[in-house]
Amino acid sequence: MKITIETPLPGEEDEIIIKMANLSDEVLKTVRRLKDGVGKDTMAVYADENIVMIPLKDIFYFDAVDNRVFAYTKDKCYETKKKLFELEELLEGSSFIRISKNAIVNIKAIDHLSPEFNGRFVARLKNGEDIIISRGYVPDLKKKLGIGR
Amino acid sequence: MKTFLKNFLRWTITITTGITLIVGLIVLKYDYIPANIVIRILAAGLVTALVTTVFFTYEPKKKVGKCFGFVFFLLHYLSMCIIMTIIGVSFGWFEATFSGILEITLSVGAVYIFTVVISAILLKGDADKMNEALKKLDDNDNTDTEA
Repeated sequence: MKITIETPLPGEEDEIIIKMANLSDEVLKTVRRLKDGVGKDTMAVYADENIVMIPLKDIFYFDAVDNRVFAYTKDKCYETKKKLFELEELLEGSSFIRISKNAIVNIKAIDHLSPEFNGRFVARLKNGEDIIISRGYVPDLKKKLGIGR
Repeated sequence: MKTFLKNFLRWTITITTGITLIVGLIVLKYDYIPANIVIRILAAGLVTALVTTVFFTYEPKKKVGKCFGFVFFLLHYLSMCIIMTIIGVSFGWFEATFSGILEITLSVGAVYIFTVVISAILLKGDADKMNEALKKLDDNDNTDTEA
């Protein structure tokens, strides 16, 4: 099988063209995964060069570093091709919430919160990791938890 | 801007309350209380609250160690002492002598402790409420899983 990857022209939309004499189930599954991206309960992420579908409930948080966004589960890290603001829109109404300029957290992955320096909070996640909740995002978190105005 | 103003208002209320308590104790030794004391307390509160709000706009990206926190608060405390020395001497609350400066540092220290304690109590209260909400969320999730 020949695989060709081309860079689109400026202004041209990303497009996937599959030329096959017979569409196999495996290819159809891959197409579905690419199309779905972020599904209701799953999300397509990248582990090395492979696309992996992981349940959203397994994602603890997203972190943006050097223009790349990574999804962290309990003990693994995957890259996602989405920008943080795109994820924020796609995950609106879910258990995910923006907590700083660079991070979105799954509130169901938070074990407890502690006050820290300067009015912000540290969230201890269920895998023992700590992430910072910026002061400016605390009101949104309170609202999400049903205790803010 | 909205967040800045909200924080400024919060600091103004907390610091002005602290200054009122300290100045209230100072004026006990005098036979009369000047009529302009309220305006002066408010002015002192506004200036120190503005500097405090600007100071606490700084937000490091990572979790900070105790050493950093100590240095940061020390710098803030010293800046408050300098401001209150200028204001206190101008308003006649303190004298520009060694004992006057000592009185200022102790008074600022007392207001500092007051505001830090109030802030800590408020933040702890917020953390407790959020943790309770997180626990309820967890319990609901477990109930759904069992069902």
